Amino acid sequence: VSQLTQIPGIIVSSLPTGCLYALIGVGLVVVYRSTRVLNFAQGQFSLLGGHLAYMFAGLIGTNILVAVAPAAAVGAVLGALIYLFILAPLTGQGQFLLVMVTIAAAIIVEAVVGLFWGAQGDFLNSGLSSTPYKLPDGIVLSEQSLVIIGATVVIIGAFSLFVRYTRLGVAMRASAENPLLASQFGVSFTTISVVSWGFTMVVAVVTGVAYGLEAKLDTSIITLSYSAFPAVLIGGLDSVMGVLIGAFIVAVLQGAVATWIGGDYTVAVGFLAVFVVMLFKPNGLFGSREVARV
Amino acid sequence: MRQHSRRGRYAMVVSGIAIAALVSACSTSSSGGASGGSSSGGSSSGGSSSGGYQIGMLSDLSANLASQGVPLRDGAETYFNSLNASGGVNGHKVTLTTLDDQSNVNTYIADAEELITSHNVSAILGVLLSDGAVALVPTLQRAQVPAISQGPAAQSITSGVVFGGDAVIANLAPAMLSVAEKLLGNNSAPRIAILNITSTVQDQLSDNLATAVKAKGWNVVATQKVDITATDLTPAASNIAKEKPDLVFMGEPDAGAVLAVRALRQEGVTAPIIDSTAGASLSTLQTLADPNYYALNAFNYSTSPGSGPAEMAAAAKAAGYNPDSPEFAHGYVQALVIAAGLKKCGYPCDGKALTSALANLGTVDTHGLTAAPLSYSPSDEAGFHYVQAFHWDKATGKPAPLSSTPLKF
Repeated sequence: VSQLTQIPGIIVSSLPTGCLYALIGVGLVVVYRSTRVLNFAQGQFSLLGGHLAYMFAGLIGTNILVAVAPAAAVGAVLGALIYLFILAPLTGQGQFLLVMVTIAAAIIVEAVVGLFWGAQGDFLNSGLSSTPYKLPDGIVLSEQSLVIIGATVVIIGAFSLFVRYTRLGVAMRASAENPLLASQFGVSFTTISVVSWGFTMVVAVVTGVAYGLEAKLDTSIITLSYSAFPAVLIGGLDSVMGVLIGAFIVAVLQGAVATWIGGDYTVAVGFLAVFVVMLFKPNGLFGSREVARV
Repeated sequence: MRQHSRRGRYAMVVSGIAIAALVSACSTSSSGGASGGSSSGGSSSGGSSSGGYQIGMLSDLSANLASQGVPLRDGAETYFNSLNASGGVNGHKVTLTTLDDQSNVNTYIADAEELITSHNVSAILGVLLSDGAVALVPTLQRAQVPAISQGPAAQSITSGVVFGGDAVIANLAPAMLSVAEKLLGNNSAPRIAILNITSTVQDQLSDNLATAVKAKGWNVVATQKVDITATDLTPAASNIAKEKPDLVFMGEPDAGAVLAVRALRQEGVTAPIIDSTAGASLSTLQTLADPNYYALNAFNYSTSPGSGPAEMAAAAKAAGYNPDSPEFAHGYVQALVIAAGLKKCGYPCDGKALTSALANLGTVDTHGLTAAPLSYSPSDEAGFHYVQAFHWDKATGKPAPLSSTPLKF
């Protein structure tokens, strides 16, 4: 019984980690839906994005949260350029090559961050209060956690509205479901891909800053990004809503294991959950059946 | 057709770049202004060819621990550059060759072989991972080349070839207990919680702490272990908070220490927290600004009094490095110890002679860079035997030692 009373606390305290997984996962899914590329550089992009915001905060002399805006703008342009100059010319050359290119991009981006900002990492000073909000049953939630949750809601909400109510968004959905048919109806694959890669870099900036609010912004964010893969696989490689649900399943499972069994088994439980889901739903809980897994 | 051909060529070029990047990341990379020495076969017969001393370094320059490995390399390079600018050791310059070990134990061994056979080094610095130091022992013993390890462990420090470049974390329990006694005052049966990341040395420290606490008649009310990659430490903090501890012992490295302390405070733990030497960087103390968080440190800070910190800070500034990174000071002091060994060894000095010189160094004055002078002898290769407990002093905005007397361990 005493363990059951801990469940609300576990769920609430897992929210920030679930949000970080969801942000990384959304970046992966959006790119996958449009270009069928599993981007292994999302963690490194987040590292770069966080440092871009850190740089703008220093240059403008503003709060890191405000600096997200110019960093996201630069990030969007970078994402578009990465697609146009590196990936677009390789269209049709096979998924293996594209995945290898994202791995190479990951290594290069990490080196660039080390070159410009050093390898030691940075603590982001957000000015948020360290005094947590007290909820019933002794549950606490920090301001940092609330900002992370809010940022995730904004990102996923904005994307959902975009794909539902804008012409370009509808084109993205059409292209994701049937690229050939969509192109015959005049949907530009290049435009869709440019927007997707730009969006994923915007998400990477938000992820980097969100992570830096809780922890030191350093290469450990790359490890976190690999921990987000179970969330994506559970939710489905091409489902934004699926990745959101997968992220919270993984985070809550990890929180429960850390609370009841031990904190050194948290990584394993995420991948164990993937195995279990794959047994019954090979494409993830919300993934499309046509999706070929890499 | 033409377009297809262009795409094909582009694909080949990009594939080439991708493969080159992967190969370069997966293989060892050399850096550090080294010219390399002549090959001497399997054993280190030279270490002093090319007209100077050849010293090697293994450090993580590109993988998970690059945030520590790069400043470690920078610190050693800075010391040797300053030394060479003032004439070197015994009139000979020191060349440092650094290879990227990527925190991979297998790479450690391959890199060490390369340093010994291709670069003819007479000693190896760096070696961040305690497991890496242990894995290197057979190679070092076979080649008769000593190493100074940033991650010394009981298994490597008694091998005759590995010397301490920092405190042996597993041995810190007495010093942590001594700090606890000071903080707890008259509390004769305090409730103690222990929180650590899962790693060989931190697990050993946790076990040693639990044994020492029980031996004193104190109570261990909670023991929590967390994965090194965990970003949410709330479950562990919540489990500790439930037990209402009077004091928390921690074995968390810097980034994890920030997460852990924040999580504990959020869960309502107001008790003092004492961390091992892993969580003592200036940025950690500064970020937490928690006067009740104490981190042991075998080193002083760049702002500490003494000619050593001032000289190091000036050299770092001149070289464009940040002296506040703890690993920078660690690399700097490792180089200082090797220079003392080379001075004692004379010229030329091969690995075997340098091993003997290091083992018979006696006291090494670091001029305030460490909590106390270092001490090496044939029966004691650890070198580091003193630490201080630092916490953040809000009044001065600097780390302040709990006591002016270093703690022996």
